[in-house]
Amino acid sequence: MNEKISAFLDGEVDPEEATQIVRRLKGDIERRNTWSRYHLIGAAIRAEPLSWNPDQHQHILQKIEQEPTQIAPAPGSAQVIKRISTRVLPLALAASLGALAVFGFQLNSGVTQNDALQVAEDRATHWQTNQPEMETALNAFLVEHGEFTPASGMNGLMSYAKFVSYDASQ
Amino acid sequence: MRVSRPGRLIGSVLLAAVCAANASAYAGNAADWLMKMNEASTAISYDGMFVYMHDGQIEAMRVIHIVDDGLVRERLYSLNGATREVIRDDRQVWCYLPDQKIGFRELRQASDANFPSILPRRIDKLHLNYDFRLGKLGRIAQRQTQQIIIEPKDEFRYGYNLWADNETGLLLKADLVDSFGESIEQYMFTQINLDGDVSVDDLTPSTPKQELKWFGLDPDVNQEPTSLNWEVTEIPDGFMLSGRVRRLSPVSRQTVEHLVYSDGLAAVSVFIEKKTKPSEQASMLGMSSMGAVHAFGTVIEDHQITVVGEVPSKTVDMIGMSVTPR
Repeated sequence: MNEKISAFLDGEVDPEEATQIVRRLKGDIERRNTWSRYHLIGAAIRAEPLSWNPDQHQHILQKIEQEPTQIAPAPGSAQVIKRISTRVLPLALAASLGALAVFGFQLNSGVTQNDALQVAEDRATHWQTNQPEMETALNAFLVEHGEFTPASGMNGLMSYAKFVSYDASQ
Repeated sequence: MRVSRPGRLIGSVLLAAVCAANASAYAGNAADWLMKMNEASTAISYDGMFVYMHDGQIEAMRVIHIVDDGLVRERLYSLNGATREVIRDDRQVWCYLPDQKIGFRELRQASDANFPSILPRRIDKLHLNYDFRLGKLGRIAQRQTQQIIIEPKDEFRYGYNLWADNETGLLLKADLVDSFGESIEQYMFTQINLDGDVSVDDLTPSTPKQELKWFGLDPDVNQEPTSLNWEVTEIPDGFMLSGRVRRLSPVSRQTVEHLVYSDGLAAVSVFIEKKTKPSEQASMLGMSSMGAVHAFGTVIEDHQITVVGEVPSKTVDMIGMSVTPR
């Protein structure tokens, strides 16, 4: 799967496969973390702008320190790995996970940027969104929408539960 | 469980409709269970703890649900982190966000026909877009349960695995699954009191109202209608306009046109709001998500269009891209 994530980021998978990867990334925390790391490195390599967030910096630092061997983008690219770890990693460390959500990047795989944004890990907001400043408006819309949610006898409970739920890791 | 006469009548009619639609006897039973679950939510008082799992997180909540003379009052609050809570009755919804020092108050504008549920009116059409059948017997929160499996026939909606209390029909566990059968989010009661011994005192919010800055009041629905009439031109099969209200946005204080489309289980809201100062106001653009909810924003002719629903991203995307002024 890790190879696939790497290939996916390089735009080397067909649309069907890309969709599968996005789907699996969505449901799997561990893979999402892998995704985040690869994405971060990819962004650094492409010299895309990275924003800085001290809180999240520490989080990334720990993750990368714990699993240094898993940063490799793909087997067979040992040269690249070495280059990344010596030159680009410090740059990547300076990035925030939140910044992942605001990168504009193109994929040749048919998967939209929006699909990718949904899986990019973003702890800065409860919503997975590229516009954290819109969270209040999104919450308000969600509450209004909840009034009409038939949701199989849960009687709107589902929508309200989302609103109430609080991400303790924020 | 108390079943009202109209409820029984609707149930029989639906059962007949579903059977006539060439569904198996099991589908009929599953449809009956959906009716029973739907009724239970407005017939029974309960007090319980449940967990909500989404995006790799688990959150714990308590819900106090009191039915008094046919009217439902409910309080829902988070057991972890900040004490966010929602208190609602048939007229209002109060949302407390002490962590952000704000609250929303919404006047309920769904008509009686829409609240508490769209389900009963649409259940006979559900088989067009979903297959449903009974699953296994089980045990949730120390109660005997019946599983009901609802599978979507296309990728524009989610499937549901539901577990209903055998005795009362109350939904005790719900699992939303995508078209690949993978779980997107789950709700599950871990403990529930169905004895009717629920105290009204427990409906009191833990945060005093005056500690929060409140948004959303006085929805004078007749003022400033949006200057254009809007319609959704492309929508997945089975979704129909099931509600249309005009309200004041609690955030921007602008009039918002709110259209609701439902296939009987899933609902999608389309919010249309005129931008008074298009060049200065921030726009919501593209996709956001939380658990199974997707929200898509776009701007058309100086109007902010926001589509929100517990449906896959492709559904809100399709609907959002097709909103046009008439």
